[in-house]
Amino acid sequence: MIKIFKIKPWRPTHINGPIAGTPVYKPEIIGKIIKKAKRPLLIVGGYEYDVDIGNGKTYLDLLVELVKKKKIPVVATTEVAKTFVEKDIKPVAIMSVSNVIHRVCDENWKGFDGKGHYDWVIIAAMVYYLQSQMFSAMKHFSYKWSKGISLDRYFQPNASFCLANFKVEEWKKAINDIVKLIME
Amino acid sequence: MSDEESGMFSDIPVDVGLIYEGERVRGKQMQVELGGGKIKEKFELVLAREMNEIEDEKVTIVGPDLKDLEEGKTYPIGIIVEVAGRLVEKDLEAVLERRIHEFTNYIEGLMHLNQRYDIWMRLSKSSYKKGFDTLEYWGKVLIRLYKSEFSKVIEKIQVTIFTDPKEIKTWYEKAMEIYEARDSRARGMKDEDVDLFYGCTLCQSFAPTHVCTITPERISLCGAINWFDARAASKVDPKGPNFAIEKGECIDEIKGEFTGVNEITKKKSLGEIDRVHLYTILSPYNHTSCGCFEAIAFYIPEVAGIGIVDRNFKGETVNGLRFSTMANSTGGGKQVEGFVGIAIEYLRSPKLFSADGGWNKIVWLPSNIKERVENDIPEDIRDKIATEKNAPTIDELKAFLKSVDHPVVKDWVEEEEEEEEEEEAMMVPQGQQITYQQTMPVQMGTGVGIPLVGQLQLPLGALGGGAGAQWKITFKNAKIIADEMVIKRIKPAKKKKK
Amino acid sequence: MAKESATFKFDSLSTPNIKVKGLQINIRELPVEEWTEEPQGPHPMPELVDLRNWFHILLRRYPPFYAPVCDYCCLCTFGKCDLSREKHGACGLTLPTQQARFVTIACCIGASCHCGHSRHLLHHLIEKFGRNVPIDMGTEIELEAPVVRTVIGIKPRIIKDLEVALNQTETEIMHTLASTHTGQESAAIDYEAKALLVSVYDHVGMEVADLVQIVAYNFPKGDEDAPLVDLGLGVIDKDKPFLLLIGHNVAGAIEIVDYLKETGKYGTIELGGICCTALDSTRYDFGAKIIGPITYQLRIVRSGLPDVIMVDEQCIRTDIIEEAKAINARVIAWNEKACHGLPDSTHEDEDKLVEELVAGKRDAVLIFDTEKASRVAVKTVEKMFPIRKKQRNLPTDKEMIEIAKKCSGCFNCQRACPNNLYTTEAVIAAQSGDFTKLEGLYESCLACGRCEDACPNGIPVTGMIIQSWQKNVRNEKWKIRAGRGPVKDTEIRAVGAPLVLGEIPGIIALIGCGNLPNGNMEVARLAEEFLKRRYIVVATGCHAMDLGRYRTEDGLTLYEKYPGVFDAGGLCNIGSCVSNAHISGACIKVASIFARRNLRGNFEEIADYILNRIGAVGISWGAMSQKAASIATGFNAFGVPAIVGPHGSKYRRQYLGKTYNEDAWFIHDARTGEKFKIGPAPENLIMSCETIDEATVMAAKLCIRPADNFKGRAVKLTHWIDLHKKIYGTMPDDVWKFIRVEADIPLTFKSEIMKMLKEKGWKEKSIPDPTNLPRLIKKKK
Repeated sequence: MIKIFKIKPWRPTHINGPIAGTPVYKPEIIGKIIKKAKRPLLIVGGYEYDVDIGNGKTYLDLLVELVKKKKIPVVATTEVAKTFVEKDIKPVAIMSVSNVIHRVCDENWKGFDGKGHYDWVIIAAMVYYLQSQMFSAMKHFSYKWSKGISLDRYFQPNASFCLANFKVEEWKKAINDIVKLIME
Repeated sequence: MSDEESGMFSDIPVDVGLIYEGERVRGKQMQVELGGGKIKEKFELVLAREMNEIEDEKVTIVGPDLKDLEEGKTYPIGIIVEVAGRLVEKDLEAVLERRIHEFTNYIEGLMHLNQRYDIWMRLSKSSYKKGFDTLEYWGKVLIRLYKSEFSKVIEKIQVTIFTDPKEIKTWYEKAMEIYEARDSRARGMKDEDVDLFYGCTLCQSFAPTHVCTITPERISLCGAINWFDARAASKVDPKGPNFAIEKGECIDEIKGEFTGVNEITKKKSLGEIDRVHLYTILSPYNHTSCGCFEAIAFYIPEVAGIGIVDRNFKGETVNGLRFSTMANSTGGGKQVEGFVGIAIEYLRSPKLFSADGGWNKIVWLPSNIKERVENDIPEDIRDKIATEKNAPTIDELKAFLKSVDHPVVKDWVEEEEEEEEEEEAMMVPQGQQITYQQTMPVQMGTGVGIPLVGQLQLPLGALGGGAGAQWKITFKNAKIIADEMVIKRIKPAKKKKK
Repeated sequence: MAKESATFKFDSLSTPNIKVKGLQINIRELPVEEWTEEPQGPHPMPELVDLRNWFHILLRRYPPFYAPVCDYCCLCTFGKCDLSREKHGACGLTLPTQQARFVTIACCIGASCHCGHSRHLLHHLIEKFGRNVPIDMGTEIELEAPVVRTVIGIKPRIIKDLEVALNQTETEIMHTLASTHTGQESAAIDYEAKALLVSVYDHVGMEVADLVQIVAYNFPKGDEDAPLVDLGLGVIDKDKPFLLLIGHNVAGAIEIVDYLKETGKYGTIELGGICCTALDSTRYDFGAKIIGPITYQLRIVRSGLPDVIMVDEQCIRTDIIEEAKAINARVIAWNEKACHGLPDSTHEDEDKLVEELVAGKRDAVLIFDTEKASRVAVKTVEKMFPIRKKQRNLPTDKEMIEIAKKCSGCFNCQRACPNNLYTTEAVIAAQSGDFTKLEGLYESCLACGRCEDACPNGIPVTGMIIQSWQKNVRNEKWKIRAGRGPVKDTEIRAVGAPLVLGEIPGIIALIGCGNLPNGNMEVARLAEEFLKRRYIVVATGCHAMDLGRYRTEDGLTLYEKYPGVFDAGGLCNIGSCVSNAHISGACIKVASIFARRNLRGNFEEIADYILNRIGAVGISWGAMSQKAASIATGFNAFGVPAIVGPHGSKYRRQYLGKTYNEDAWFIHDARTGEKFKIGPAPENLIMSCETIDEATVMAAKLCIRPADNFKGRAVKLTHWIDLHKKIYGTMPDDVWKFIRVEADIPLTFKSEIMKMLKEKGWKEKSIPDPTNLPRLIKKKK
């Protein structure tokens, strides 16, 4: 049984307005959305990507594994790019997250491959307030074609879906479960 | 790392790149030292060869290699880079040779200072440990960089590196002869000896209308590009910013006016400049000045002589103006009679304002510049040129010139009478005269057409406004008391829109 | 010289346009100095929409990207209005417009701050020294006020001349602010154009402020050898009375120094400061000390060291009196903009005030007269010192264990922390006497105190973090070069050739505040990276201090290791916040000195020149205030791109280029008039980066400019590619977009890039003479 905090945004002041996404208690919900996504885009940031998530793996290792196996297009926004490159994964872009979300919010953008928008934009390993800002832009300006998901452990009210302020240990299990579910 | 990523130096155990250029290897970090002050005989040399004389990309080490040299010790060093190709000529040797310094410094942990017979190198311990244990790598890097940078010129190249003291001694003597021969040829080279001058528009990225004319006896204003450099660069990249100028017909031998120079300058400055006098400061067509000239030559009408000030000179020059004041009017690709930007090296040229009398016309120099070029000043005039130390003002300059009987003094006699009338009309650069009066229906300020009572002269500049500004003022029995007067341009009614 | 006033009479006068009889004109004040060398340009003293054309050009290429912080508008009583997604407010306002409006308001606040500061200083200095103080910037600076010359269109000779500039700045701030009433401007892009305009005036305000203080107080005038001064928490001599100065307006601090010197007391009192008052006081008195940036307020105050605190304006903690009270120190306030609810004591008896302060009958006094305030401060600190019980406002180690036990592990402190620091974990560790985790937080902690208010059990978390570090304080002794002021004309000329020849790849300007995501070290390391690469690095304000609080491998601070000259590998501390105008000023000087572009009233052309040619990038890694918003937006208006840290995303707006939209990336070739496609250079105008590594790569990339000649381009690409490879492990995949001719290709990456060019079907182009303004296309003669 996963114990949760009283559900306010992780940073309690980050209530932007009346529209808020869903903090999920069951990680598999997020897993299923990503699994079913037609055109997902994973954005990996530069915050706490090296935390150990069990089995001697870091958060980043797990994400690399996921990308490698499921061929999810990945954008590396920071120095994490190097890890992907070293593991022979070519990110669809190495680009600042603001530049990526600016594209996502442009209705006329055709995606990194020219095939159109991404239905789910998934952000992982990014500092809370920056994610919050990026999801805020998406919430207002891309919601018709791209929705946001966070894989980090915090409630992000501007994302469509995210975890509900999980404690570290619980999150470690959750993130492993999510990735496992997607890769199945 | 894959081959593709590490690029052309994948087989070199250390990094190679421009970012290592400023790198210093200190005594404690050094594996071995080559050349430098402790070693008398050392050299580097580039030689032009015939195609069949060279085995392409061969590196030969003569003497012990890095692994045989004792850690922390100093050894002699010499290097010969031999090149061949259809466009390779003797003249290119010096230009290519100068790049050894730069290319060597690209190598991580390999420091190279100075040039020719003066080289000083150090290899860092950490680079040695990474596997940089043979001088062959040095040769390989040089070969690849030369071939890459001069791909249109160098077809074959081989490198020989010497550490054997005996061999070095023999080659050192030969090298010294070659340097001397080259220098004397370059020193003796006259503008009259060549058919081609060179132009430079590198500065146009910042100063879009400036064109530099570079001749054997007139280096670029920044002092960075001489005739040989420009020539090499134009050969390597004919479409680049250094280009050949056919001298064409000589219109004025004394002032240095050539049809070819005029044509090219007109073309490259988009018609801004159509005549250039190379060897004079006293011409409305003197050479234009960019923004990075090392010094300014300025005419001093009070003494009928030329002063020179470099950009490091602080304070006022003899004419009461600072370098920056004069530079503001001299620069920007304009022709300003009596003011011209020059390189310090140009002071060593026989063509230094030759139309105006050359050194015999120079009356004032900052003392540190005078020291630098002392040996190039003709002996009979050397002590007659003032500096800020003995002539900080025009009056003191006059007195000084008189006391030493500077050649300009003999020109004074006739002029002295006129001078009184002119009072203190010190020559101020006039690069930016305002010329838009004709676009204004009313000219205020100089009294033209307006009977002004009182002392006011309305500032012309403040009433400007560029083309098309219209003014109409009607007063009837008016008494106006204003607390403040602000003049703003009235916008033209029709604005051109594109 | 300007004539002060004039009278002239006409009996009769007749021209085609003027008919006059018996006219007498008295003019009390004539326009400032005639400026005959340059004709007036098209936009002197630009009004609200005069530069709109240029700003729209910028905004077309760099469209705003909005990330709202709040989805409501709460400014009128119709509200709150929900503006989310496509909703309109009661006045019709949309969310993007509201964001732009908010940015405009922020820029107005920033510009007002500098202009107000400037106005105060000018007024004060005219009162003190008279209106005729000449603007003499020394022998190597002729172009004394590049921003004022360009924007206002005047060439000031005496400080009084600058009033015109401030008058105009005030007018434009007023008009801009007026446009934010309801959402009347309606189009976001026009609010952005106004934010840009008001921020141009911000640079005017800053330039005036710094110019007048430089000439009136005789601060260093572009001196690359300005002395090194003490910096850090550990530099205060505890055996002397300590007067702490906080704020941004140096007028009070200078009165103190003068008073100490007049009375022979100089050297008997420690003067140390926080923020720009500290920076500026060391430009006057090289013996004054700098404690640190804004984030050091609680650190120094709670240590109990200050006996008296003098505050002026801007970045001052609003709870400073409360905090001072807790350490039994007194506060003196003098600035009209920060009265702290205190009664006006300007006309009260000086000695009585001192007496009451010393006796503890008053905690703080407000004296609007800087001279009097300074005397009171000095007298109070002298009397307080021997009798004051040094009272720290920090728990002892022993107390910390007990306090920590009150922690219920609710995580409220961490959730309140701007940097999401693991405070809860650290407090819990302290329960068993392990303070190492607290200590580990110190360098990233902003000492803002939010965690303390968030704690339901009243645990002073910030205090505990500060306490855990106390043993290290004595080592916090650093050096910083006193602010040198503007870049000299002679330096601009000297760097010209190396900039052209590519020996200097760019100018990195570290400007800004203390809201750092991970402490100051990473800012200093970034500076060192670019110094090693022989870029020119300049710094101002908080970042100037951040660079001092760091030692290189050889144990030297950056200021000790790198020369203070504006040249390759030089590190210039330009000065305080208001000195930022010298950075835009340096760019303007290049246009004037190299191309002899007229500056006078010629903003548009100069900004176009800078955007296309000068590889300067501003980095404000800890951007926090509204002042930083207007400073950065002003740089953007001038054509200088800026990078802010991750917190900067909360400014709501970034100007980002869409590199996939090739049509946005063209210029006109001024030689031929031809429309010319260029690479995305610079790619963004203002952007938030997430990590310092990312910012490092981006800064190198943003130095690329359309006019680069091949040498400059090759060198800029080399550094960018090298950093990209080192940090991201791979060659950037858009390098090909920046290659115009083969000679652009960096030597050492030639084979790789040639291969890429082949794949992309690249064809050689030529290098244009770029402009974004069709009117600047040359007509062939």
